[in-house]
Amino acid sequence: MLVGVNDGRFFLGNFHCLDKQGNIILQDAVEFRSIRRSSPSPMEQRGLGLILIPSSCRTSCHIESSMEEQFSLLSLRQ
Amino acid sequence: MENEVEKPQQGIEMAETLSIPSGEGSVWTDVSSLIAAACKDLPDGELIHGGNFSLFAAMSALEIMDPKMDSGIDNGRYHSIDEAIENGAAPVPLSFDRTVDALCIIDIMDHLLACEATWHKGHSLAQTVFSCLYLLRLDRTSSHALLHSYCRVVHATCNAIISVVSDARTHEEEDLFTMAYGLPLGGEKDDRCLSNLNAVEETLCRQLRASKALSAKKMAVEDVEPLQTNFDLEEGFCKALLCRLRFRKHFYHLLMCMRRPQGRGFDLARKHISSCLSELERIRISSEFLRLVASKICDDGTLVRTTASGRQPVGFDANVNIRSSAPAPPRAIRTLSWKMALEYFEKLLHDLDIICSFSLDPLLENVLRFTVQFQKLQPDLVARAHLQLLLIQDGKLYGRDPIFAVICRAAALPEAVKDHDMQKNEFVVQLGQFVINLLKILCTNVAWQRRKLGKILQDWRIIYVQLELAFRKELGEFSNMSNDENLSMKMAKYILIWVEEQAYWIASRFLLLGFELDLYSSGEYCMVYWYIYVVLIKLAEKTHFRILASFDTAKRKGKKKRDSLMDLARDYQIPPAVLLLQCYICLADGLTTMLAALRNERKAFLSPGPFNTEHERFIQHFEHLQKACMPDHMSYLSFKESTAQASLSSLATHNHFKDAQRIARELKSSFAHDPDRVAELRHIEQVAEHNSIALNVISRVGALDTTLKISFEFTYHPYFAVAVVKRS
Repeated sequence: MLVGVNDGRFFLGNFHCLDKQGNIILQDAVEFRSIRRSSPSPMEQRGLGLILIPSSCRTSCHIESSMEEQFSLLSLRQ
Repeated sequence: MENEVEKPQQGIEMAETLSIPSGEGSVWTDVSSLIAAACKDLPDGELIHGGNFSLFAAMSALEIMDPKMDSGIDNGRYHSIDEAIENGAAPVPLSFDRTVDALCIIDIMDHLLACEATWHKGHSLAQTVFSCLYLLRLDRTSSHALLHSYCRVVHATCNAIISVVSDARTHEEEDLFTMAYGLPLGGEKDDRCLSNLNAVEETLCRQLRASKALSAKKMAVEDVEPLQTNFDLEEGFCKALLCRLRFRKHFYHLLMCMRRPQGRGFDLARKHISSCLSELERIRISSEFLRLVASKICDDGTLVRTTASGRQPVGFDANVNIRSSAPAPPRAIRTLSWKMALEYFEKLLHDLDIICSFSLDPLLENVLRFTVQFQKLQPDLVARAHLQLLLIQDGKLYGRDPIFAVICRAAALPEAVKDHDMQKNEFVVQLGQFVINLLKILCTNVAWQRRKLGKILQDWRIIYVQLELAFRKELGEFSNMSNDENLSMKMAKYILIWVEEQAYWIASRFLLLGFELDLYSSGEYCMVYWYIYVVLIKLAEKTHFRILASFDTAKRKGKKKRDSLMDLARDYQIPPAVLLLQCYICLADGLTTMLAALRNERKAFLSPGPFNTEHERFIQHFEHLQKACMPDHMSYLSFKESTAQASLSSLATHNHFKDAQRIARELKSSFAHDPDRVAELRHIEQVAEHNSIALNVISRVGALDTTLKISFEFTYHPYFAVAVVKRS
């Protein structure tokens, strides 16, 4: 699962848990951060382990899936 | 049915998501609406979790965007070192105006010194010395000789100090000290730092000479380009830079000299220490000139404490490194002021000087005494690491004396036995390890030291028992066999006596250090002094045995077998070391009795509190000693019994303080050559005298006069209190 937060960083990790408020815990998370404040810029990463991302700062949430799964998810939203 | 196509997210975010690669053949699918739907469906108090979930473990998750746990939060500052450099945070040269450039370099040098002192005091390298962008990218500075050589020598010095502290492993709880977290510390760059420095120093000397010649209206003999463009300031700048560079040079040399084994480099080290101190003084003097120049050149207003000139140094950013520490952000730290940094280095140099003046005494008791004295100066981490490396090298004392030989000498055995087979005995080997361990512990900071001393008490007790059993098994009971076995018997006996003495010495240090660390409340002084009293009695007894044994050895060496017992008895005086312990015993006895009497009759100095009874406090304080049976058959009950009868009226009948005074006075001549011991005796006398007077007052009127206020202060001695009697 790849979660984006409001200061521009992304966190990639295994989904661990989700609560009613929308807070997400990721396992073996890696933080992606741009090296320069201006975009586009390359990213650097570092490992953080178990992290909690509050729903208040979460801006995006993606998962790795096949093309078929993505298509079926789109159609689910009808 | 309307075909709603999912609108793409904001252009920037989508692009960035795509720059993080997904697996092969897969794409990133937006699931935010799925998550929202799931949350809506969840009843209160429930959550969705993946495999291997544990709520307890989940509690330890780092919370993103919490400043205490998340060190990567975008704070609007540079995201990386390269970005900072690209944006001009660390220009080379610092200014195209050579005068301003020189001033900026000096500011950097001063700030680096302050950072280094802060690091020594126990903070992380990343937040202190390596907050300097120039140090993080050393190669960038190669066009600027002054800056480059200074950075190289700082780099080399940091490596040298990390190496010393890591080898000694004295950093204990200050474990941040040696962590380098991927900082560019590799030692390959250090080889030529001194030759670089020498070249730069040479140029500066010539520039200084040229400026002096010019100002004296002499012919300029040096054909050298001046340091900077303002003729009036040239001499001042050259001098300010020279003393800073020279300090660095001598400091680095000092570290190299002290690394040489067995103290071989100590004489040279002391010369470098002396040079360092002179240069530090010149650095201090230069601050006036620098402040003047700073006020002329720029009037920013805001004064900074970490530089001599008061200007903000260029090229430092503590934030660029913040993510290379552990996942959680480091504590905010305050860099030492420039003045405090100078004071820190002066103290460090004085402490190192004392180590370099140590005569490498082969006698263990003198080594122990030196270490205890040295610790009274409250030396910092770097000095203590150097002491430990001097004492223990390659498993030998000073890297020179094997531990078995040290033990035999300490146990007053003749020199010849040091090659005896007994050293192969497994328990003797273990005893050797304990001695090495003890020396290392005595080099750590006081709080850690006391904790460790308490823990090893049982080890020493157990090794005593094991040695006794092993000797008895090997040598049989004490019967007279061949000469060889006679010698082994003697060695066994002497070593056992020494082990006991050493164990009680450790116990006494453990108890006394409690005063240094302020661990006892006044309601506990009575039991503490009582325990000190019983331990010191044992220590004095064992010390006395050991000294008598050494007389025996000396006697045999001198072949004075014809001395009659009568002569011996007539000439015999209790050895001074034992008498000194006797002083402390009298003081402890007197204080115990006085405190007990006050407690019994005036209900003063009790251990109040609903949580712990006096018995529980006794166990808390003396648990280690009790477990090690030191001394045997001493318990809380013994304490209660011996203090139950103390009364104010009977205090004057036996004035222990007067005994202490008398013994101390007599001892002065025996220790005339030892200024530390003479000072100690004076303190003992003062404690004894004041307590004696207080005791007289209390015994006469204490029971009746309720307006009397009695307190115990440590005015004359850090361990032995003095009763202060006032009328309220």
